[in-house]
Amino acid sequence: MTNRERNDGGGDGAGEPVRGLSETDLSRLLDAAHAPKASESLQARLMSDFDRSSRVSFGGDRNTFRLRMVRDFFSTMPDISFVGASPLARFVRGGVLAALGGLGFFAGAVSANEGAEEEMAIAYFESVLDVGFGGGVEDLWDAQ
Amino acid sequence: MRSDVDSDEALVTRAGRGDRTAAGELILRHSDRVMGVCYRMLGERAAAEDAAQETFLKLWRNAAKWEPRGAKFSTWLYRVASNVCLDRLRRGGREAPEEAAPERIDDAPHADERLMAADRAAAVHAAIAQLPERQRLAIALCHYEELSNIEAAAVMETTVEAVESLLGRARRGLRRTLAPMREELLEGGGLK
Repeated sequence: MTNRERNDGGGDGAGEPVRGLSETDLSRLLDAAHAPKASESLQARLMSDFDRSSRVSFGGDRNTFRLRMVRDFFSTMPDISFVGASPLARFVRGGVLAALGGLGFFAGAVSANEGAEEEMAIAYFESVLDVGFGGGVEDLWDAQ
Repeated sequence: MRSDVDSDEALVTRAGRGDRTAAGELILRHSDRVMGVCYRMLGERAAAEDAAQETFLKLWRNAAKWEPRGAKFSTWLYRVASNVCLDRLRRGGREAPEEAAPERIDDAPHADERLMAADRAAAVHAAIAQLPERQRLAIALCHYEELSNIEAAAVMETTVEAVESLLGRARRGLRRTLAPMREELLEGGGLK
């Protein structure tokens, strides 16, 4: 006897007579009501989600890797308001946020100069990340 | 072929490392069943597809760090699908399914038989949609997906006794709802 057959005839009052429809009738009706299968288009969507997700996770280009590092960094900050954080943590986070704010300002200034100082901007960004992550950013990028 | 013999757990590990073939195999193995649970829970195809997609997205995001910890992968996946559906139902409130007609009635060769099969399935889907969420989930897992009560209890994070109780109440509720339509459903629908 399968689990399903056991359930069909048992359980908390399942077998109680309900006028007009037996347990067997109910099982036949349930069996006749099919659910749709996953369509090919859904399977294609699932596959493309995997592709997108693995691109973000494993990186393939520099921009993706930058995004991942920034995202991972912020995911380690549970509360942006710093409530409950230790004084040291508040100091470090405040410093990094100030540096990022400065970076935004600097990037705005660079873009106003038609990108002439792009390399300077990248070097500055790397130095901010070096401060935040303890160095080794170049090595990590090279490893990509 | 390697993918023919790989366990789900091995496939998840490989997918977590970015193996596209492993991900494709997981989709082939589990998308129908995830879709089935989502459809039983949400009662509408488009919503079920969205929920199935969200379930797999959670899988891809967690594949790299997924650990069996004594649980089968399919149990974990069903649990994710169930939670996605329950979240959606609670966010959107309980709604009657917009599309209760069956999607697969190809077995019925004639138009009138197809129509009757569609009516019967619509009545059953509507009756299932009226059940409380947990009873609906118990029916979806135990009757349709043929999970054991122990597996269903693990998916639903409850006891086996609670699953049995949910199933009993669900079946009794369905019989009450469908009893007035017995003649047309069974005799008219050719199931008698």
